[in-house]
Amino acid sequence: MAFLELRKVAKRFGSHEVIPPLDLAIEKGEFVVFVGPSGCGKSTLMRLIAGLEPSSDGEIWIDGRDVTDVLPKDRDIAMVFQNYALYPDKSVYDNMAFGLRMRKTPAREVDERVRAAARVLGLDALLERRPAQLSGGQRQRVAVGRAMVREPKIFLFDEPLSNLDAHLRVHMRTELVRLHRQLGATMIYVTHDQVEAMTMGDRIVVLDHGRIRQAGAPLELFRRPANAFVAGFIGSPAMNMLPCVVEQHGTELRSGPVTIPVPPPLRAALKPWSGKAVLFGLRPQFVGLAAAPGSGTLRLTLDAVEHLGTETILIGLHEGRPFQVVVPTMVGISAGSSIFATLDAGRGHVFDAATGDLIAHGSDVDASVPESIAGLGHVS
Amino acid sequence: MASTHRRSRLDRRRSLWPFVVPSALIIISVQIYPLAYALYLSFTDFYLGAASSNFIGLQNYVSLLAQDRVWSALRVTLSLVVVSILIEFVLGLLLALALYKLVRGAKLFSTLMFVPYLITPVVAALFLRWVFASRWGLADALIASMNIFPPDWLGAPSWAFVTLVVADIWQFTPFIMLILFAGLQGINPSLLEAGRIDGASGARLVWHVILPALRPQILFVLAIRLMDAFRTFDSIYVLTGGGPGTATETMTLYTYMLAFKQLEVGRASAMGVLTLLVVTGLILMVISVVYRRDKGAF
Repeated sequence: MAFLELRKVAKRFGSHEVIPPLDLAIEKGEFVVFVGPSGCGKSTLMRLIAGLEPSSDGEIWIDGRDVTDVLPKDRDIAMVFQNYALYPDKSVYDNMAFGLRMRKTPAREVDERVRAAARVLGLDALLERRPAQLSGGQRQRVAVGRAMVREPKIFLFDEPLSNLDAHLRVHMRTELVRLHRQLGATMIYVTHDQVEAMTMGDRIVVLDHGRIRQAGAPLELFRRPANAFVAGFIGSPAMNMLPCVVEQHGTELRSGPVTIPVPPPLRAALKPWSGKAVLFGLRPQFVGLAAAPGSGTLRLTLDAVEHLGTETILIGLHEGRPFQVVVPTMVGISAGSSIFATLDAGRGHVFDAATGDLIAHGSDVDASVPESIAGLGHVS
Repeated sequence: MASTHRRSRLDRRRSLWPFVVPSALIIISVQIYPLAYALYLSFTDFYLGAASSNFIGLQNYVSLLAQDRVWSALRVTLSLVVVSILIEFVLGLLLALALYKLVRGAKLFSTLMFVPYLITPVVAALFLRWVFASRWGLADALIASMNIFPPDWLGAPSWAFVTLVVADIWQFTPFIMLILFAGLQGINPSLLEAGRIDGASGARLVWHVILPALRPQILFVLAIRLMDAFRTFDSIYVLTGGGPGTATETMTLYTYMLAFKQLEVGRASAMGVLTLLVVTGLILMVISVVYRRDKGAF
């Protein structure tokens, strides 16, 4: 039995179903990230686990105990809120000690635990300060410390980094991951930022309209998305989706004026879809540039060119949808110019255009580096 | 360069003065001048109707402080203020918390609760006088219908005091409720959730999380109510007139007696100044109690 188990847990507000019955199991020590666009139910799901919202249906089990009807304080969980939710009238020390005092922990133990947590988080010098006298990053650390001293079974993080500036966010990201490693605690982390999800989680749960669209390791989601939603949500810039029709018994995909030859391993999967509409998904990193049009090349007029320094993102439109190409930094391409894009179809994914469900992955999706640079070999 | 900059800032400041003048004039004419004049009068033996008055120094104060009636008025005022405000605060807080819990229909309910506060105090007092009138008032009728012999609400000293407290509570609890309710709505909900997860629920959540967060509103409401309750005149005048005897005579009521019944304006002014000193002292006390732990942190 898993450490945390949601069994057919559902949430309705009146007649509005926010989370349809859902099953999820989380193992002890895992760092699980709930990710999805706003309104996807990820925060609600976390609040159900915390007990801040009663579930409309189903059971929640933590460490072998049914906690469905147990009060938040008795679930042995701790939560870090987006706005920190520190008690403004209490010092850093008292903020961290509050939960233990409410549980009638002996004063000496309270002191030891608070000081230990403060040491780990670098808050030693700030214990007498009040929240108003702290910076955003320090407040965030106090909020984490308040959770830590409780030594809860599960840590819940509700978008804890979204109020920090970009630089601090990256820093706190690594700190939280380090903390997870250090404590070996079970953590659940809610975010709408797929970069946070990719960099922090052992496992990512992608939610949409209260449903789990896919759960798995970050790279698994990146390489083998189970549907067009996950494919489009995970990865930056987002995956290109070309609306296509399957032709010639699955050997060709026609997208507007362009015909894309289907690599042999994919053909069998596409054969039954002959004549039907599909989406061909290809990450912008797996699109190349050609000097002249050829078979399967896409002619794009660029709307925008984003120079990021290490790479350049070329943005155009194909069949009414944005189409992006990531190329190593180069000069001489600007908005308004036309390019010919070549598609590495073996790295693509084919989805049902109607449902978004996966039809087949390309045969090369697990190759970690593009073939063009694989020949460079490893430097060790 | 720097000096011209400073000069232009000074010029700018000077040019803003005319904007302050109208309100300053109003404040001086209706607040500062009367206050200063009353302070001046308190050092004279001014008697309404007398041709002249003399400066007599602290004599008014000395003779007032020697009177039992003054100390009794202070005692009555303080007990009335403390008892009413304590009960009003507890009731107002409980009502505000209840309103905070009930979301739907809360608006309508809070408007209804506010009605007593909207009524002119004299009218409210007259209304209450009908309620508490002995033998045929609403309160007596209700109590008598339960076969209990009703008390003489306005005639017996202790019951007259109770009646005044009830009147004040009835009128001003809504005000406290509304201010605290507004404060509650300003509390970040995740603060309460953090408290619930930390193990504080019910009364402990109120004590450890909600009340500290409401501190500015509590200070505001207590200060306002203290000032108001000390000045209460209309309802006491209408309900008991300070009686029976001087059992419910407050400082304002005695000031009124001195000024308009006995026409001793100088002494009445001294009484007013004493009241002002007591109120100021009390408000400073409230501020220091509410902010005793973190001075200056708002």
